[in-house]
Amino acid sequence: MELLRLGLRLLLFNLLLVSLTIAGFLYLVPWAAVVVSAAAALLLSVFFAAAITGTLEDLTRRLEDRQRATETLASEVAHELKNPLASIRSAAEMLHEVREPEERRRFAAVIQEEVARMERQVSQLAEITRIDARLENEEQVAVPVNGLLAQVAERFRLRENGRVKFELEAPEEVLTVRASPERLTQVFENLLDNAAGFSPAGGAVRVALERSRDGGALIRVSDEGPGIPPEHLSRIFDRFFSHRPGEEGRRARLHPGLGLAIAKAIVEGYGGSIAAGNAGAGGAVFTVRLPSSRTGISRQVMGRS
Amino acid sequence: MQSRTELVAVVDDEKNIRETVAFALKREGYRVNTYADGAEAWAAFRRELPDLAVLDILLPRMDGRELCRKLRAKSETLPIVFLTSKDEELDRVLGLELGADDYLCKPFSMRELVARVKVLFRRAALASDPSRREEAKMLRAGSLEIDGLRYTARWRGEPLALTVTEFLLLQALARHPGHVKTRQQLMEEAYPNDAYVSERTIDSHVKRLRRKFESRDAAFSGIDTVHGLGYRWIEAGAE
Repeated sequence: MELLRLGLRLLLFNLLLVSLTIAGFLYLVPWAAVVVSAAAALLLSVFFAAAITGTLEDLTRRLEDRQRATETLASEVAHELKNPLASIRSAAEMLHEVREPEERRRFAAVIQEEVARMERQVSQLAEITRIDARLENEEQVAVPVNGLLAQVAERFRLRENGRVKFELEAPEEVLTVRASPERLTQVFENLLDNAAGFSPAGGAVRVALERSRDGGALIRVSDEGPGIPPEHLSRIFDRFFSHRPGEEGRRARLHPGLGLAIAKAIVEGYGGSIAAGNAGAGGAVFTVRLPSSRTGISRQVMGRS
Repeated sequence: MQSRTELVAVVDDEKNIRETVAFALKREGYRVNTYADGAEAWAAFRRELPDLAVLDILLPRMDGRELCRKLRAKSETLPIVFLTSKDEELDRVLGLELGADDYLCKPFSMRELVARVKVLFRRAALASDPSRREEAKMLRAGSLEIDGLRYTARWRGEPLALTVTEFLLLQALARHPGHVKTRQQLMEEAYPNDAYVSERTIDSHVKRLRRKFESRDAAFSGIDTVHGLGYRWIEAGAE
């Protein structure tokens, strides 16, 4: 950055010299004109130099931001992979030492389970790092949200097979947003998956769609689970943030903590917003706002830094 | 299987780690209680203190640092071992102030962890028994005095609060003053049961070890970095 500023200063100085030389050629022109032209040249070069410096500084800052984001992600990933690695390593060591078949089966199962978890983490990670680039390249169409939510809810009804109920409330009018249907499906699958994971047996997950004040779509996904502890609200969309109280079984293993981060990246990519909160009666509520397909969302997608 | 009565608490939110560690320690004859988060562990510790605690740093509800501080407030001698998945986390988190007795980086070797637990129980038992001073296990290098039986060291007569890893590193260096020890050699001495320790881990332990000396003696320069080779102990007063 310092080098850049120095270079610009030299450039400025050169411009000044050039303008003075031009003035020298016009030797016969009255002295006052020389001064005026030199001053004009000076002002112009100052103006350009300032403009160039501004642009370059902005560019450098954005590159630095991106660099930092990459570094943060790399350290998060390293950190996140060490837990399954630790389980795998200790289980593998114990396999060497124990002879009882039942214990050996248990440690082999730990290794398989953790390998599957790492595999999932790695593929979700590939997903989240490419979301920015992918959203820009994917074709966006007007997606009727009512129908999309109905499909997702139906898939979850089949998946959960009665353990959790899925209720959909949608208005008569069809609300559309501009998006890739697959991406939008992914957003609600992740939200419903999260809600189902926290639901007690027999609980209900409610999906409510309505028109927002600015004409866009407002979707609320609420569950009857324990809700989100207030201290976690600010971190719930962070990559790898995962908090599952009292959950020890296989379900917890299936969630590497990227689903909500991915949902957020997609929603924001489409110029919308996502928020998490708790319902008065208990349970978590996730609110997604998406701009209407009639307002230029693609502009917002492109304008993202 | 020997029968011991010591109670070890294992606190980690990773179920598989918690259970494997518990299994390995029970095989050694220890009694083991496991906890999935800091608050649950603390609730249990308030009723009964364990004889040793193995804590993960990042824990839900109450993190390992806070749990360690609370444990320390209740007992100054209870051995505490940290498990961590972030190497750099240690620098920030475990300075001189927390008073952990040792820490291992994930993915750690289970054999190494079991060995450390045994050392810590031995160190704790001998700390309260000053009668058994075995001269054969004492090592002196200038102003440094190392007690190989108790895993303790003194600098100019003052005790240093060293983790087991730091102690093993210091012992390896001070045994041959002036001789360079490569990182590989130091790894073998500090982690005799673990073949995969990164060289950076050694560097950060040495850094912390130096800092502990410097907190006693600002002009300390007994541990010399030999560029491209490793480290060596320099006799105090000889520099």
